[in-house]
Amino acid sequence: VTADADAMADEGRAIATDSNRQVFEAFVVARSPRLLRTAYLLTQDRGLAEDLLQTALARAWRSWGRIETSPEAYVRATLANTYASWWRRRWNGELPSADLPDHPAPDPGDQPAAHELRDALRRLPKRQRAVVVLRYFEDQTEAETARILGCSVGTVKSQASKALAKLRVDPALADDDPRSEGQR
Amino acid sequence: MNVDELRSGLTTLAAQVDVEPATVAADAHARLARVDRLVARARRLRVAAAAGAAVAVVSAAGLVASELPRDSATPPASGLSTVEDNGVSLYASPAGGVLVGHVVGDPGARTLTLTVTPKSLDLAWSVECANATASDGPLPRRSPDEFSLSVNGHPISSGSCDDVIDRTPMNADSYFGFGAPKGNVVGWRDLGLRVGQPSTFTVRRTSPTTEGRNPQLALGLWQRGPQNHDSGVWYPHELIVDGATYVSESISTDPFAARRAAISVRIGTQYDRYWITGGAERLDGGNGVLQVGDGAMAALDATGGAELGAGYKPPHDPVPVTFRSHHHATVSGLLYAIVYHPLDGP
Repeated sequence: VTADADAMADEGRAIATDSNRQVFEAFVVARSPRLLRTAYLLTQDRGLAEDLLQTALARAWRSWGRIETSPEAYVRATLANTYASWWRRRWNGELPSADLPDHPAPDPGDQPAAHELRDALRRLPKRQRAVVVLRYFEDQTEAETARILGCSVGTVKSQASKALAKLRVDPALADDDPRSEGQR
Repeated sequence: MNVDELRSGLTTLAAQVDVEPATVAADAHARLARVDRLVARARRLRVAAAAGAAVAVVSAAGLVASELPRDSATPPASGLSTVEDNGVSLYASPAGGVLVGHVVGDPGARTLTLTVTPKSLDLAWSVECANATASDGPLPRRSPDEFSLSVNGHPISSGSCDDVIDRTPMNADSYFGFGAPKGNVVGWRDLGLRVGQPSTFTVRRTSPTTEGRNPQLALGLWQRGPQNHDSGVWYPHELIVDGATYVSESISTDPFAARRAAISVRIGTQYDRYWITGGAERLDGGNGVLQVGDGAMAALDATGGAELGAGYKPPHDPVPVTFRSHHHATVSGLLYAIVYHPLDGP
């Protein structure tokens, strides 16, 4: 009887795992292009964005059955926090990998305005860049941004304010048109 | 630039990473395959560690290298002093450093706090989370728990708990500023630390409690030992690898602007083992992969760097440290290789 019960339990777990896997694969197909955009804004590099997204997805898959928020929110938070922890450490504990991204790097010369914004973002401290991406690309609220980054709403406000101030005076984004001054 | 312009610019910039609609599905499936390899690789490391195999070697830099050369030096027995806390060991004075604070929780505890009043801000930390109850049984299918580390309310890092306990003493393996003491101090200042003023570190399990699992959290904080500065690279004068102290004896550097770069270093015969650390810093123009010998590889990030090491027994052919860029891009940076020999040689 015990063996039968164990076998049934194993079968139940296998079915649950198969079902979870299908949902996870559908999630990756549907949502990873959007998440890759976020990763790209954080890292400013296509190959590293792919590395960051894969790391976040691997972590999500290991926790798939226990994710209590929406999976996309979980992966987004993992992206932001993994990005912060990667680059705050000299040696960041990445898993050794021989895999190379197979996409060509975008040609920054194609879109000068985007290239200038990328340069300006690159000059922001990482936390400020994460706040900018979450607030103004992901359209997260200040409270949600604070929850994702594990800081206070006040910190999000001050980091966003500092980031915007730096972007306004960044030489790559300098605008000599005085008519736009009122909007700043 | 106002906020509306910023939103529009971010959308335009992010679209640069899009692929053609026809390739989205294939792209996602290729990504899934890589995710599966990442998960499988992490699982293999845990299995190897559980079996007591010598595969999972943690370098002094804290990078887990799963594919070290087969002739890696056999780790000697450790004679270094340690501090025991709740069943966990921490090095007391690794490589000239000093353990300034530590806290180890009981299995199952969800939060740890450590308050220290630093005398210096050239600090390094290490945090561990291991599932004490899983070490003697079959490994679970998934990593069960995650944790975060913060100081004075500012997040520092996060990670997944291991399924087995690492019996190696905890060592100072994470810090800021690419090794430069000044950069490290700035990193800690940004997090609110001040000499002579108390700061509180918090380690918190961020995943729900799972029945039958009792991960144990541990945190150590050290004042770093002496650092060398040669040819533009900061690196520790001494390293601890598998319980043995190694001393730096030479560094080779190669400023490069190319798709590939390589340094070949010779090891002597005076000592019975050598440790070679390879790294790349100040990358500009893209990222790539770093490799020491024909063993471990690590992905590098575009604005930072990475480092990894491997052990060798003499006599041995010159060991290459190589960098190759992603996308065949021309990348500039500084490649380096450091040879360490045992402190208590030969």
